[in-house]
Amino acid sequence: MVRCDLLRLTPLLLLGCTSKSSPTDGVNDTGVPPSATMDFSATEIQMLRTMWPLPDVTPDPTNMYAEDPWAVHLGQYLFFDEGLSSSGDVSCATCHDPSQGWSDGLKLGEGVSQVHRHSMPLFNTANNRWFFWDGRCDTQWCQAIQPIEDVAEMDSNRLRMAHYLANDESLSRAYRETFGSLPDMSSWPTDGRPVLNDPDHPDTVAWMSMTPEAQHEANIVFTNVGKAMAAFQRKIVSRDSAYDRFAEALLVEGKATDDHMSESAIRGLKLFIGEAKCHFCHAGPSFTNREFANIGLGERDWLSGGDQGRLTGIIRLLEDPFRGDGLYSDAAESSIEKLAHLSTSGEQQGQFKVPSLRSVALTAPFMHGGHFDTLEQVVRHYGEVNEYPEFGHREDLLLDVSLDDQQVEDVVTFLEALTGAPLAASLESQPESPLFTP
Amino acid sequence: MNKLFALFLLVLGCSEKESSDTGDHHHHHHGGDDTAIEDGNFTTEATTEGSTWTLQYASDPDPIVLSENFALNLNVSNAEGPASDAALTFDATMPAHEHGMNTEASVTSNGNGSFTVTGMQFHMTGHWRLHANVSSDGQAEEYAWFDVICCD
Repeated sequence: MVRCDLLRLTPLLLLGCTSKSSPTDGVNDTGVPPSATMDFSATEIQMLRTMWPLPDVTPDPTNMYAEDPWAVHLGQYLFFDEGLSSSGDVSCATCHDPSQGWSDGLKLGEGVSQVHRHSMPLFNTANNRWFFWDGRCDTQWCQAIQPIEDVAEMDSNRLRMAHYLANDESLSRAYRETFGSLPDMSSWPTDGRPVLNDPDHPDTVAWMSMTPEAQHEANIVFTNVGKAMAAFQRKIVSRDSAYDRFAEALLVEGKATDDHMSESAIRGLKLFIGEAKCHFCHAGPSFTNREFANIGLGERDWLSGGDQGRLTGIIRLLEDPFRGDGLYSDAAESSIEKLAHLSTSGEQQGQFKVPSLRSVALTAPFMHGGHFDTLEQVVRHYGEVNEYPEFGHREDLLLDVSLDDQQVEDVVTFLEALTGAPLAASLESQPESPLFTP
Repeated sequence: MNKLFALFLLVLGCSEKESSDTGDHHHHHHGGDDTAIEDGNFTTEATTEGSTWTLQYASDPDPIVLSENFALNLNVSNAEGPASDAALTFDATMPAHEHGMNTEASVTSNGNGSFTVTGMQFHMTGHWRLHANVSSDGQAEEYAWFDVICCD
């Protein structure tokens, strides 16, 4: 354990040399010895400064409609629109239900049929670098359109979707007011998409019967729909939690107080940034490093197995025409560096997204396969690490963590304090019309 | 106990900085039994193990940002000055976790001992070690390292 303590203290080496005075230096200058819970060390203060405040949503230069109110409104309408699915009864909100923390409360998603992974909650996803559990998209609009064509999710295709917009008077007008005119689709097949690795699929055959120009026009409609949905999802932000109020009191006013978080939650925070080492991956104000990790999750009865996570995610990403550096991006140059150095070494095998923990308590069950029903089980997993991953190399860091029952409870209580203020109710259902009224 | 130890490290940390300012940068010992840190070099300059080359780097951006790609600009010199015939390979790992980066870095030689390493990324907070191997036609490969704490 000495080894680990040293590691954690190493930031002090740097801190000690900067001679910066901080507004919280006065925390312990009251003459009254603070309780152990309320006493924050310089190292802890330094760490918390990297974890608060939550900045505004990250700009997305690849989506020129990201802040466009017409796109936000149309995106919200389409997010809740079951007409986008082949069965007519599945929308994005089926698996990303606002009343279930923008997930669905199920171990595995249920679209037109069962999905092979757990539905990701959508809080603060606009800050992501990568999308899906395996990061197979690098932009939010690339993510938003894949479920439309996934056979287990909405089981539709981009041509059917385009005809659906064109044949609905309000939708086609809303599209036109946001993006400009829809193309002439009179010669397009009813259904069609390029089905990966299946040249004989009827949808592929139909797609290949189109001219490249028509395919390009269809892809523009498809990605514009994704950009509208992404613009809406940028509004799904968890902030103003009890933790935020606690951190503000501590870091701005220099006063640790249990007015906002219980003593148990405060102990949990200290464990989170200390002994439990959660912050190594759940870093920053969004509580994620926005990358991937193999946390050694074992098999489950309800999982079919064979999921290699990030490794296959990168391979799919590199084949995807809707990447941030591609033809349909509004700022291809902004994504070149991010995509240029992706590695497909063994390190990526069995890795899955490190999700944001903002409002995590609203989003059970947890992990990419719905492995755990409760946060207590999640925290115990990190304390015990008694499973072995199906693929790849488990993060060694996890083996150093050991937590007793009280510590598990404290970390869970802290995680519950990350639940943000409720979103505006107007964001949580389908608007009456896709048409935006300024 | 931890606090006392932290105080001890604070003092050590300052002496480390002072020594780096004087250019005495190689093989600092911070004490303790942590193999990852005890030979740590938290400066931006290092001499290869065979003492043939000296390396100096600057990161772009500085400071490095968690989970964002960064570049390093390196200058390699030998006793005669810039090592124009040197070749460089570069990598980074987290010694305590025995894993490397999620990205593959690329090294470009700009000539006259100047190199740019692109595609570096620290995806976890904590202690990272940058590994450099330098070689040249007439000289066997030699190793040097830098240590960085990610990220403020």
